[in-house]
Amino acid sequence: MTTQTRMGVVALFLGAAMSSSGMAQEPIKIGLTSSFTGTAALFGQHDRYGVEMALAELNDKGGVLGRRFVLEAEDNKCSPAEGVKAATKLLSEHKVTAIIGAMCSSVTLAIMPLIQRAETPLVIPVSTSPAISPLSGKGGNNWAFRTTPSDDGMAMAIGRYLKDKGVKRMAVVAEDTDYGRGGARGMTEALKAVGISLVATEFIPQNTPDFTTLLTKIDAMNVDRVAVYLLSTDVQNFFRQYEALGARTRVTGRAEMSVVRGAVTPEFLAKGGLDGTSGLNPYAFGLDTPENKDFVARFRARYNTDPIQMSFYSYEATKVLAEAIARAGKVDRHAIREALAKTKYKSIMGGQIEFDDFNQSHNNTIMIELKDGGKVAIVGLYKS
Amino acid sequence: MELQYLLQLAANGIVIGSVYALLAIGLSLIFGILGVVNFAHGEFYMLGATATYALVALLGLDYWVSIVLVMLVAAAIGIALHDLFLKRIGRHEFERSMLLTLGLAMILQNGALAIWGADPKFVRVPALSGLISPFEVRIPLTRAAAFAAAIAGLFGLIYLLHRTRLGQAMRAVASNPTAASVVGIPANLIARATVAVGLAMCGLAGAALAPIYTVHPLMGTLFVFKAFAIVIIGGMGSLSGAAIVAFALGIVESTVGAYVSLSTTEGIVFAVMIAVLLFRPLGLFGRGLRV
Repeated sequence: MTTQTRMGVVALFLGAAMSSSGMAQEPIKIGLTSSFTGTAALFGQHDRYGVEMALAELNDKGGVLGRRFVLEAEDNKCSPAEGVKAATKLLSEHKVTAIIGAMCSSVTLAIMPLIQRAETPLVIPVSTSPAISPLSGKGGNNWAFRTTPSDDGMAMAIGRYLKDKGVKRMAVVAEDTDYGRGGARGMTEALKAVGISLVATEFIPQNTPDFTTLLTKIDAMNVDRVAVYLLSTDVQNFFRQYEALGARTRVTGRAEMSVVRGAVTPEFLAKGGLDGTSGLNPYAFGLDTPENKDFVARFRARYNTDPIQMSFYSYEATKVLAEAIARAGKVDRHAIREALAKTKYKSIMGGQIEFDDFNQSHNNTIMIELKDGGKVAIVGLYKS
Repeated sequence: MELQYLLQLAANGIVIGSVYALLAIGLSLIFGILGVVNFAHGEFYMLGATATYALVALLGLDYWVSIVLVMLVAAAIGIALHDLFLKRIGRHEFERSMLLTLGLAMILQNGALAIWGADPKFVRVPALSGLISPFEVRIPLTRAAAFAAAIAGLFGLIYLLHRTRLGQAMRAVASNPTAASVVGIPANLIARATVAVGLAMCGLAGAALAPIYTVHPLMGTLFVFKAFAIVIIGGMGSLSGAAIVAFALGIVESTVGAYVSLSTTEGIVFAVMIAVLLFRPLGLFGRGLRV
């Protein structure tokens, strides 16, 4: 054999080795659909951050089953019609193994029948609508799994917090929309479950300009707390008039404390005008546990910003999915679905992600309170 | 306790009534003289509040000076509105005026959304922080000031209409445009002045209410529907009718909201409007422009 031929044979062997190892490493395709453009674009961006970070960490450790992950992301603009298009593309064009999404609840509800027909698992990290659970698992669609607490679950968490606080009498105020009506319904059930009496429920139209009658009425009801289900503009208007009128009944619910603090004057905060006001968050980057601090540090190192609810839940949903694929032992959609159903994943939030009969998990949530002159404090983790 | 609660509700109602009156009288005035229903009224109110925010919060101007400036700017916008659009619309071309002002409302609302975004803004007037509490009834100073502004605006208008030549000419045009032009009253100039005054009232409303509510592009939508109901119940073009109904509505809303439920108050307003239209089609006080 001449040197040349010998080199040729080596090259042939090398090539064969490389191509066969290449075959073994054909990556696992994960689909993500979220709102990457439009008003919810920032949230969609964080959805992507979370999934990308989880996949990168997994790939750094060699993936699962000796295979790496690749991500296919499709925009759904928070619109059900666009969502159906995005899901169809992920399923039939990219032929993904599983989908994570779709952020906006209306989109998630729209693509659930598609993933069921395509027999492809869907992991739902962000959509909180109570309408999703009754359709999943026992409800018919056993391909959809939700890792985030639902609005109903979060109402239960608020109920547990109020019980801890020794609250006896409650009132509920909600905007007259799906969100408000759903929130009030969940709260009513949660209060019943923990044995707190609900004195009154008031519905008000969205964009209500004036809250004086409402605030006067609540103060006269002599309740320990009022749970408020309003969205951002109304929340700010509510608290602004709360300050002006010197209202006394403490507020709880789902409002972001940063939004609430921004609506009133620093003087009002400083003299304790809002101390005792509380809001439940599915996630808060300030949670002071070693697991979360480690997560936040890794997230900051990668993206130079703090994680939010979307990035956190999408990160964990991706980890839950990868862990299920590893347990399934093969990249087979049916095997992965069965593995997902048996998930027992220790969340960074301290809870256990496992799915009930309706494929709904009940992770911990964080209760945040204003105290000591309007300072933001995490008062505890409450199971959803 | 119960009496004090009632007093508090009545006080709330009167103050909210003055807010409604501020919004309704400009609307009523423009209808009385031009025959135009200004569907963009809520958006001009929003612009007034936004301008107040710009002057007070961004430029650091004195709040009281800002009120005057906002009214002047609003009046100038009123003149432009008249010269560009409203003067091309005849007294009885209701469809055209409706389409025009509705279109304007959409452009202004979405324009504001595009330029300033949907985030609510706050106008803070340190001099007006705090409460007055006569007989243990809590009234925020910002609301007391809005009440004063509404009363001043109302009496200013009454003075204008009854004690000045311009006002007399306005009333003449309102009661009979043809006869007014026969005796040499320039209908066009009067219409222009009316729109200017109407929008100045709108600017006053925006400036007076900015420290009470949050300033954002949709702040006018719900208010303006109430203002329409008030103008219709009071009698289209009747300023005192609008003012009386505004105060009555404020008190009714406040007490019904407190003793029944808040969601029923919205229904009550419009049920009363329908009843009035059925039995007194010209409104409770309606008969051309009366004050």
